[in-house]
Formats: sequence, C-alpha cells, structure tokens
Amino acid sequence: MAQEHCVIIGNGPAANAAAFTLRENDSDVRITVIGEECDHQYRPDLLPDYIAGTVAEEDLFIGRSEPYKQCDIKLRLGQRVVNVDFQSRELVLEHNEMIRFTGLIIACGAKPRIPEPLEVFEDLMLTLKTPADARDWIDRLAHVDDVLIVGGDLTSLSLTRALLHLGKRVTFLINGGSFWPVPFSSELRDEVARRLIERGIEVTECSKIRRMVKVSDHAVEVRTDCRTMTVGILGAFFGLVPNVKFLARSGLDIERGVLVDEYLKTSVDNVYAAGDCAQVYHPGIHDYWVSIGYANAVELGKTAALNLLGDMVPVNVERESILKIDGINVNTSWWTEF
Amino acid sequence: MKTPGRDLAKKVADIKSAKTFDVRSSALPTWCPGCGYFGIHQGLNACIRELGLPLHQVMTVSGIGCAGRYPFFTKTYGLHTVHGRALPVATGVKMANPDLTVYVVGGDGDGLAIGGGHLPHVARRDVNVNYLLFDNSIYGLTKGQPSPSSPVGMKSKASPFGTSDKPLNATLLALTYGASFVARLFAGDPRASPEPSLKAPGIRALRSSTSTPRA
Amino acid sequence: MPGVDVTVEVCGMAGDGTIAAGGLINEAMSAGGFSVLGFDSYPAEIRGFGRCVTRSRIGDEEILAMEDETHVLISLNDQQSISRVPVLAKDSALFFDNNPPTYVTEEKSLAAEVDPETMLFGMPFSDLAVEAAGTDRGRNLTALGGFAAVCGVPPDFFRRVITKKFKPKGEKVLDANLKSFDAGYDYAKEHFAARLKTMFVEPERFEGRERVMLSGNLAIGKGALDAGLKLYFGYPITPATPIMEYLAKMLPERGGAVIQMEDEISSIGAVLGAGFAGARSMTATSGPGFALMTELITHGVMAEIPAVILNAQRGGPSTGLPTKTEQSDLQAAVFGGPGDSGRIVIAPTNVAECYAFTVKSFQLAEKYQTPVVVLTDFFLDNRVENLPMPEAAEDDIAGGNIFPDDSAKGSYRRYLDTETGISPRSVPGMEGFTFSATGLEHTERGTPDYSPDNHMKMSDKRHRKIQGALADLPEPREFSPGGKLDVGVVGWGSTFGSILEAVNTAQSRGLKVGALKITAIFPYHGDVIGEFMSRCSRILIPELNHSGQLANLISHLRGNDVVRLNLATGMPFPPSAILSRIEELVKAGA
Repeated sequence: MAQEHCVIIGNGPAANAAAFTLRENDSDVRITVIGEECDHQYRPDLLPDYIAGTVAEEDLFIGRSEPYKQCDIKLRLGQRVVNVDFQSRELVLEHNEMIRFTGLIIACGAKPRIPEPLEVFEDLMLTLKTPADARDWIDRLAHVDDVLIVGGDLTSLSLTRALLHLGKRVTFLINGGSFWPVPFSSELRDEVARRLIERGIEVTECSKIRRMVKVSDHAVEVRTDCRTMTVGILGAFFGLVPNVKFLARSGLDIERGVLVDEYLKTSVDNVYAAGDCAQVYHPGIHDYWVSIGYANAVELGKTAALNLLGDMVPVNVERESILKIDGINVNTSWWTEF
Repeated sequence: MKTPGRDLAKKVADIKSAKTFDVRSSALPTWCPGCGYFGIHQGLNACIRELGLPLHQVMTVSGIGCAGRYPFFTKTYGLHTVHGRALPVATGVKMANPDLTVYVVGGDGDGLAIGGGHLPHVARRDVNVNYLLFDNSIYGLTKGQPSPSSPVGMKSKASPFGTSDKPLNATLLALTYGASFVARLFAGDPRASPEPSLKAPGIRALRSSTSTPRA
Repeated sequence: MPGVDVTVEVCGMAGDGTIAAGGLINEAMSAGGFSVLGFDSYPAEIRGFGRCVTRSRIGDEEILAMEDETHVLISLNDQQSISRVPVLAKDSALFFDNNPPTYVTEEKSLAAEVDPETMLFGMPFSDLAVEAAGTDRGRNLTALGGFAAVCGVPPDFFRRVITKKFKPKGEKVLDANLKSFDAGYDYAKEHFAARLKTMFVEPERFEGRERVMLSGNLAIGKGALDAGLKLYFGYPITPATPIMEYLAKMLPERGGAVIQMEDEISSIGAVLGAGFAGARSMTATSGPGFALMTELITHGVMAEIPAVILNAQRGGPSTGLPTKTEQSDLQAAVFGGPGDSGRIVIAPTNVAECYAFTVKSFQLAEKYQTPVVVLTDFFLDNRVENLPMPEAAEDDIAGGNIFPDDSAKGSYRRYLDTETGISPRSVPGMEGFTFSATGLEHTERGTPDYSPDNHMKMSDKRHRKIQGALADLPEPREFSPGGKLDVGVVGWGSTFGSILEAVNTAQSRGLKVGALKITAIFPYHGDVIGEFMSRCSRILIPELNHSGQLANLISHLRGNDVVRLNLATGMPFPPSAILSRIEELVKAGA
C-alpha cells in the first residue's frame, strides 16, 4: 500500500493545530493542508484593526511557509475542495485534481451566515470573515461616510469601533433575538445597546428589512418595517455557519456541521472533523454542540489529529473559555439550538 | 632516334604559332620528369587557347597534391586551396561570378579520399564548373602511399604487405552522381582535347588516367 | 512605486500555441511602450521533449538581461509547467486551465507543486474558447485574456497585435481569435475582481522610430541583407539555422542565393571561393561546425580572402548542449586552426549590435582581406528585444576592398608588403592582374616560398594588417562614474547585459563600481582595457564558460589578480550572481 496520506481541509486554527500535531506524533505520514482562501492563516480578531489602519497587513498573518516546509507539510492555498468520495477515499479540487487520502480531517471552518430572507440581497451587503473581506471594506470605506450594521455579533462590535476610529457614521440595526454566538438575552441586549449609544451610535431595533435598492455605486437604500434610509455600506453580521456545503453529496452525516462523536470521528472511518465546522456529540446531554474561538479550535484540531493516529482522546466538553470582546464577557461554548 | 634539325625547327615554329605556351606561367612545373601531368597541362592549355578564352576570365581551383600545384603553372586566376576542398571553393567562385570559366584540378587522393564527399553534391547541384581528376592511383607528393584508386595488392611503404582495399572507379562514380558530361582521357595523348566538355552545361567530370614515374 | 519589471512565462507542449502566445505578449507589450526582452527555450532532453517555454521580461526601462525569477506563469500544459515551479518568484501569479477534460492526479497537478503564496488563477481556457469561438484552438488567447485582465494590461494592446497577426488569415479566423481573447478577459475580470494584481502601469511612449521585436538571429540576417550579401552557404546547426532560413526567404528577391551545402567545410570553402571572386558572402554555424571550418578559415587568413563567419555559440565541447547558451568558443574563434592565423573576431552584446556588427563585418572582411568571425551565443541569437528598426549607414555598407591601380598592370604583386599590411587586391575578371593565391607561404607575387626571411616578412605583414584593423573596430565602452573604482567588471557577449544590470544596481546602492564592455575580441584594445583595469582595485570577469576564455586572453593586461566568475550552466548569466560577487569584492577590499 502507498504511503499514509493525511489530508486536512482548512487552514484555520483547528486545521493547522491538527497538521502540526500529526507531524509531532508521526514523522513519516504525508500531510497536506488545503485552504480555500489565498491567504496564510490569519488572526480574524485583528481584521477590524486592519480596517481601522492600526494594524499592518503583514501583522494579520500567523502562518508563513517556512514552518510547513520544516515539518514537511504540504500547504496549498487558494484551492477549494468541491467533493469527497469516501468510498474510494479521494477528494476532488475545484480545478479537477483528484487527491487520494488515507486519513482526513475536515476543519474547513465556518462562513458568514446570511439569513434566508436577506439572501437575495447578498451582493449588496458586506461581511467580515477573511482578509479579502477586510480589503473590500477598506476599498468601499474610501468612498462612503455612513455604514449600517445589521444583525450583530462580536465582530460587528469591534468593527464598529474601527469605523468610529475612521470617523464614519454608524447605524446599528439590532435584528432578531440572538446576538451571535449567544442567545440575546434582554440584559445582554441592553448592555450592548447602552455601550453603542454611549459612543454616538444610532441604535434601531427593527425586526425586519423589507427591501434594499442599489442607488449608486456607493449608496444603498434600505427600507425596514419602520423606516427608510440611504447608507454607503451595509454590513451583515448574523454569525457563522459551518462551511460544509461541499460535503452534501458525499454521504457523510451532516446536520448544520459535520456530525462527530466525542472523539471527533465522523460517520466514516479515519475521517475526523474539528473546529467551527464540527458538531460534536456531548455524551452527557445526548446532543451536539459547536464551538467557536481560537483556543477551542486549536484544542479540537489537536484532538482530531491524535485520534486519527490511533489515540482515543475524548473532547473536553466541559471546557469553557470566556472570551472578552469589547468589555463584554461571552461564553464561547454553547449549544446548537439557536 | 634523332630528330632532324629541320623538323625540330618546324615543330618549334608550330608550337609558337599555336600560342599554346602563352597560357603557361613562367614558373616551371614541379612535377617529376616524365609525369603524365605534363600531357594534361599541355592539352588543357591548348583547349583554352582554341576556345579563345581571355585568361583573366578563367579561374583554376585546386586542392592539395601534385595536381594542387597546377594553378601556379598557368596565367589564369588561380586558387590553391586546402586538401580535398577545391570543389566547394569552385562552387563559390562560379556562383559569385558566372562569367568566369572555372576548372578544378585535383588528384585521386584529393578528389576520391579526403574530398570524396563533395563530388556528388557538386554534381547534383549542377554547378557549372569543369573538374579534371588526375587519376594516377597513388599519393605522389607524399611519396607513394596507396590511394583510393590503387589496385588491390599494391605494395608501398605504407602497405608493405599489399593493400587489400578495392579501388574506386571515378568514371562510374561521376556517372552515378549524374554529372552532365563525363569523359575518360589518357594523359599520354594530349590531342584528346577536353574541349567538348567545356561547352556542355553543368558539372563536367573528366577523369584523366595518368601515371607517376616511379622513383 | 518602483518601475515595472515583470517576467512572464508561457509554458506548454508543442501544439499548444505556446510560442505564439509568448510572441503576442512580446508584441503587445512592446507596442504598448514597454521595453521587452524575450527568450524562448526548448529543452533538448528527451524527458522534456516537446516542451516549449517562452520568457518575456517586461519593463519601463531598457531591459539588459533576463531575470532569474518568473512573476507570471501562463500554463497551457500543467504537466510541462511543473518544471517551471522552481523559478517562480514568491507571490507569482499562475494562470492555468482549471477544467481539464479528465481528473488529474496529484503527481501531474501543477497546483500541487506551487508554493502556497502563488496566486492561482484557474480558468476554463478550453471551455471559454469553445463557447466563444466554437473551437478550443484559441485557448492560448483565452489564457492571455486572463493575464491581461488580472495583471492590468489594457486589452487593446492584445487586440491590436492579434488583429495584426490574424487578419491575413481572414476575418473568420481573426474573429474567432479575438472572441477567444475577450472570453478570457471578461471571465477573469468577473471572477477575479477581488484579486486583481496590477503589474503594469503604462509607461511614457518611446519617442522616434517605431520599435520592432527582433531576435538576434533575425537582426543578423537583416544586417547581412542590408550590407548587400550576395551568397549564403551553410549547413543546418542549432542555434544558427534561423539565419539561413530567414535569408533563404529574403535573399532571392534581392538577386542573391542561399545554398545549403553538404557540410560546414564546403560551406566555408564556397564562402571563400565567392569572396575570392568578389561577392559578399557568409556562413553561419555553431561550435561543432566552426571546428570543421578552422582549416579553411586559416586558408582565408593565409591567402587573404574576405569571408564572414558567424559562430552562434552553444554549450560544448563536441555536440555538447545544442540548445543551451555558452561562451566557450572564444579561443577557437581567435586561435582555432593551424599556425599563427590571426583574424578579426567581434562579439555583439545585444540585438542592436547583432545587426550593426554583421553589417560592418563585410566591410572589415573586404578592407582587411581576412575572415571575420562574429561571435554570438544561443541566448543572444534566440532572444527578442524591442528596438527601433535598425538601419545601416551608407558608410558602413560601402565596399571595403582596395583595388590595384592600372600602373601595377604587368608587374602586379598581389601580396605587396605595404606599411599597413594591406595589399591592393584584384578579383577574377580584372584584366592584367591575374595571380594564384595559395595556402602555402608565398612571396609578394603569390609564388610559394618557404625561405626563412620570407616567412618572417609575410607573417609580420599579415599580423600588422590584423592589428591595424583595431582602428576600425568598436572601442571598449565604459559604464562608470570614472576615476578610481573598487571593482571593475569586464565582459563580453550576452553576459554583458547581466553585468550592466548588476553594476547599475550596485551603483544605485552607492558602490564605486563600473563595467567595461568589450566587443572587439581580436584584435583587442589593450591600451583602453589596461587603462581601465589600472583604475580598479579589483577586476571581475564573469563568463558563461568553465575556463574564463576572455580572462585568458586579456588578463595579462592586469596581472594575475583578475577574479573570474565562470558559470557553465547553459543558462543566461543571472545578474544577481554578478551583483553578489561585486558586493563581496567591495566588502573584502573595504
């Protein structure tokens, strides 16, 4: 049989933790990391500062080629997996390349969620997940003065701070019942609203966006159920969804993310999932949970790698990490019911 | 046998009136006494004279060997080239100035051994030059080694037990290569003029059988 | 923002339209006002059989050399392009067909080989071409469309040269090609909108005459035509063959002829014959053919016959590296052959000089009644540069032969020992001046003569004549601020472009360095070279050969501390290697 070949789909914290853990524990296995984005691994938390101009582009990136070369890990960037055939243990890249694997770790992360009613307006909204998104923001901000933020999540708070730093006028449309990734309790909502208003941000609580019309290259007219306004940019912040659409035809067990047991194993042998794209079984509550946050992702990635190599390490589901963003404490382990 | 004085005087007068020697240069041929090349020289000179070719419109090209020295013994333009390469050089001369009458002289070593590869190409290119191959079946200038036309079994310092290689037939080669005019002459008969050859178009190969006086 | 300096490669199999695509890039960028240096390569190795690679270095200032790294790779065949991955710069852009008809495995995938930083622009070349034009024959143009869109080349640059190239083939063909290009352009503009990588900022237009793309070989052929070449005799050999092919097309309508001879010996033989008879004639060959020619070349030296021999050097010895570049025939050109057979050897350093030196060589050959060797190399012969269409001055074309005057009739001495060593020369057909030339040592009249005094006298005459030619040969050209220099770099041939680029960079970094270009290889300007060498603390001579052949020839002018930098890689000299040696020498001397 050919050499063992472990392929890792993704280039975020979970994927990279998995890759380097594999190498630490097995010097022979061939390892390939396939990232969909063109950029090296980056720090998403710095993207708002990058937009504000207070962080240089090169400081966004954690990854560089050298560690991969040193560890004999093949890193491929800007290459998208479009299908996986678990029967023949092959995956197919967008450019019709077929890669055979013996082990697979799916750590392809999540992507911004656009709520269904707003999907038709997707092209009129900006999200912020990747450096490419940030570059879009920078390009567009050069031409506009006011920004409307719809929805709300941790990233949107940091971005708002960056926008204020740039002297932009920000309107916040708190939408729906959740402040991703946590349920939007009334205390939290009040807290967030208070802080936003303190900074001179107009906060509107409107439940529904009715229409959006592009007025010009730098203006969009937005009509909600209570008012109509014209803004330069519309930012959509509705949280993230696992980026697993490409697996839909593969026969793998998927709900929102890839369903894995407490050892991060999927429904297929030698195939594991970790990070934002995984829904992990919690033996205590007999249900699945997902996690976000850098530390959680690293932890999951490591666990997936060790288990792929034959260990049987369960995920520490009790782990709770408190993320502090903009002075608000958020518990990053949460249940999937939202 | 003695030649009566009157006959000799008449012969000298005839030769002078024929102006055959006008084509010869003042340099004396370096060939050995009794060499057949003298006969070829005389015949060719007579031919140039008979055709009335102005000497400055005639070009003699030679290679290396006893025959290679030929240009020095005529008053035409001459080019004594390197061993075996007279034919390509003559090709250049003729193409550069088609008004010239160009003849190439060379021995069997020059034309059949080292330069043997050029004859077919000059023939198929149909360059309008005359090629006189002085075939004495031996290397004369280097003193008696076997040549490509030496008979099997010829003994020499270089072939003390007799050469085992079969001789080439230059006449057949020239015919095979498609030269436009091929003739075989004997150097002992200077009246066998190469004249008809000079009138035919294209490459003309004349093989002149000759002999080298044995030392 | 630093100026434009981008190296673009197209790689594919024979039949992919690789060379055509590379040619269009050169033409388009040249017409757009950029400076372009192009160099195609066809590796001779069996493994790479059929692989074609074109490289174009495009800049807004004069391009002097090829760069080591490639910034844009357009792959028309991914399996072949894998061989190009090692030369890709960080952050290079890769255009490739992302919808091949069958799945490719990892081993055959280009995307599997590139560094993660490489910017991938996968486009369905074939699909787009078929959709736009009904055939995938224009997929190379679709790829160019993608390149133009992403890298910021105005599409009209390409549309114009495509029109020029395909219009003669009919509206239908032209239309299909334009559509194929546009399909690639539009696709890339739409799909890569967020990742455009603008590399080209349109430069100021060049003033004056229109610039044309010309290869060294074509410049040589055109130079020969303009100089009034009558006869070309040659034998096919890489990399000189294109000269013969060009002339075979062009010469007949000018009343001349190209004759393919049976070998190189007969080629030079016929050239000498034609030269003797007064016609401008030449041959072009490479090392192995030149070796065969040396006996007759020395015959030309001895019998004092004009001839022009172009030696397009390739890797040696023997058959060597037929499709690689090297500068290892200098000694053969200067010294090759029996006896003390000094001859004129000149070596152009760029395409413009290929033209000018070829023109001049005929006059030199006639005036000095000697074979003139023009030394080029594979890189110089095959690269294309854009330059104003070269033209020859009347003075450079004029006949160089000195004919005897009528007073010499009857007592003509063809090899008269004059002060300059140049004897009036008659040609066949001139009445009253017949003579026989010979490769034997001879008297002034041309009669063979081996006497000691005569050989001394006539050897001296011939060498005096060749040394005298120095007055008509191009002087060394210095590129420096003048005065004392820490490092002086001396070079010749195609390597000089690399030297100049390295020296320019070193100077811009504040180093006191200079370069000296030598184009007259033999005879050479010892006084000028010696003076330059005396002003430099260190002398560096980079050459593409193993032994340092120019250094062997001229380093006596300096002493024994000349530093050699020899590369025998078969590749053009990388300027970076020269630059780092310069910096080492400066540092060591400081």
